[in-house]
Amino acid sequence: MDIIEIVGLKHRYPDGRTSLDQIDLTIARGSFVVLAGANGAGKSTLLKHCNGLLTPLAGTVRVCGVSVMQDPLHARRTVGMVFQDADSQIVGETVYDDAAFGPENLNWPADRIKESALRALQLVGLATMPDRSPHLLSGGEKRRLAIAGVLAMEPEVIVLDEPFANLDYDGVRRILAQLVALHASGKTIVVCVHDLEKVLAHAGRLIIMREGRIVADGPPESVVLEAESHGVRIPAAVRLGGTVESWLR
Amino acid sequence: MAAVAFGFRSGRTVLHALDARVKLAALVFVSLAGLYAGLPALGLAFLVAFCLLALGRCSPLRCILGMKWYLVLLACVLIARTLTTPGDLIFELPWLPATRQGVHAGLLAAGRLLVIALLGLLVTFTTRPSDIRAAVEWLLRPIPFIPHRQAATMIGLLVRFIPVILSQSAEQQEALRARSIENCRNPLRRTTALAMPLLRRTCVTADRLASAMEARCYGAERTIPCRPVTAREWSALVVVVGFCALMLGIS
Amino acid sequence: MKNSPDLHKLVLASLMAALIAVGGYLAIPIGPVPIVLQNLFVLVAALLLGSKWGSAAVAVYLLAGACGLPVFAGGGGGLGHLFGLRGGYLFGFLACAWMVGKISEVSGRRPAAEIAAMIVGSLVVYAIGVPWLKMVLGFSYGKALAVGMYPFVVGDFLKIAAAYIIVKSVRPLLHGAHSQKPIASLE
Repeated sequence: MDIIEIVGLKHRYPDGRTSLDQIDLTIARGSFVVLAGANGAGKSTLLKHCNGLLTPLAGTVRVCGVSVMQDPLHARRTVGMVFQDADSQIVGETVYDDAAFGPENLNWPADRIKESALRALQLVGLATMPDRSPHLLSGGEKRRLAIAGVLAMEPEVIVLDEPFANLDYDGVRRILAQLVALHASGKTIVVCVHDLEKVLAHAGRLIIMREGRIVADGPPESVVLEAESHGVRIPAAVRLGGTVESWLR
Repeated sequence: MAAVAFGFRSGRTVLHALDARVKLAALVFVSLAGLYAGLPALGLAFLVAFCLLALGRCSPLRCILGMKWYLVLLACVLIARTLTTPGDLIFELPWLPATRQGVHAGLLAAGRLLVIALLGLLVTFTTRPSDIRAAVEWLLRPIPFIPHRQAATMIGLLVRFIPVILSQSAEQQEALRARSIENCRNPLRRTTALAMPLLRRTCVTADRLASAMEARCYGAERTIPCRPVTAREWSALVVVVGFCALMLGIS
Repeated sequence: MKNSPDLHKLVLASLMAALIAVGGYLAIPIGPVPIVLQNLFVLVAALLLGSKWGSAAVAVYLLAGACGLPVFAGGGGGLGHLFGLRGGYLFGFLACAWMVGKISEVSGRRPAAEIAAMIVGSLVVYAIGVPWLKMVLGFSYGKALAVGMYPFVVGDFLKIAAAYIIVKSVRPLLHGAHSQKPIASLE
């Protein structure tokens, strides 16, 4: 069953440039999708529509069969969104406060808030420092806290915008391991990247965007060969005729 | 510099455990009483504040470091009052018009500010910022025309972003120094060169933060974590009110 | 969805409050009196956010400080700062932010009016700050002015010029925020 359905989506930047042009896309429940494209290809703009943060000029976006425009709150509870810049999405003064921010907004009872926030912190490995100021976390820990803040709301789909940007090797591996674990637990994962190397081995589907359109879509092994012509670098292993090896090994 | 923004140190003392609402109420009560108190009451309050700081395990060094500039300002108040208040001269020196009444007035003015500041420092050192935010929200609730939820959210964001902006500004200053800003004699250029990037960054951060908050369903209705008021809180409040009455009584 | 512009203002006002707090520590060492950026940020906040949210930014800064959060330059002390030497200036910022925002709104954001608004706003800060200083120190008005106003006047003109330049360049960024919604009229 498809959890996200996008039909005929169009969007423009305020200055009149077209950012998304006639996007038709469905994402199946429980899939692991990589959305690739050069900077400015419209990846982030597309993702923000799944969450009701942007309003389409034309077309519809449905999450679990419910129109995002009609019920943005439903979409936001179902699709959790982790933005690229971790520093400007951490709201709480402490690690725990930030994890609890989403559940507090959902008006859950106090004990459920505590439980889900602590479980989310546990999942990303930050449960040992609930009182730490987010400013004192490392780059990788901040990214993990941003993920925890979304996980605490118990979404079905987790959308991540460039989750590996500016992370060291260890940081990348930890985030990746978390994504794989979340996928294994039944969540739908959509990862948006401009560099395929780190994540492609785990993807079940690769979508390439260029200038506001979807130009390639399908199983990673076949689509990846077209990547270079759309401004996305082909992973070195594929170039040499092999397959991409997981970073977790 | 960034250390300033982290005044709170966790601890297990009674003062740490006490509800922030009571501490804030006490701060306000004692400060108001201090404004009307005479020297003996101020001395007593100073002594009590000192004992409380010791009880809260705040090292004296940290207190002095925490308020060193404030102490300089207090010294200014004391000296200014001493020299400008008319009355009986202490020294028979024409260039030192210090008067007995001046010393009294100076001690009174500086002492009041010192007591208030010490208590404020005590609250800062022993209360988690998020508890202060929750307490402010709770205390603002009965006041009309003030949107207490928004105020609490804003205080939370303020506390969260002071260290971020502090380190951004340090970065910015280093970047300017790397390009020899010291050679620039034009003060207007120097001011805008520092402030402009900070503001641009702040605006971009605000955009992103607003959408991140929206994505996490931020709305007017939120669950507010609130601790019940226990007997300890009530007894602490009674002690504080009693102390204020004593301060006013002996002045 | 409909409260989204309001949320944006709320977030920006909170960050401006943080910037005002940080501004207390940022000084440019030129001349005998260093230029502290705090009131520059107050002026910018008022012009960018308008009277309501501009004064809200300053009010949140003062409220946080009064409750013992370490936001005032010169370290802890909470209420002590509000009652102390600089208290008048701190309350003056609140009146200044409201006044500057109001004048700029009423005048339709014309450049001359905005500069005039900032001059009036800066005078308001002194109108509250100097008598307060006089009261706390027990000085005469002449002395209070000499200590609490005259040394800063040159810096204030500089800050007004800087605030004008900054606001002019930063405002377009703000419109980018509201326009996340597409403009249907472009069709």
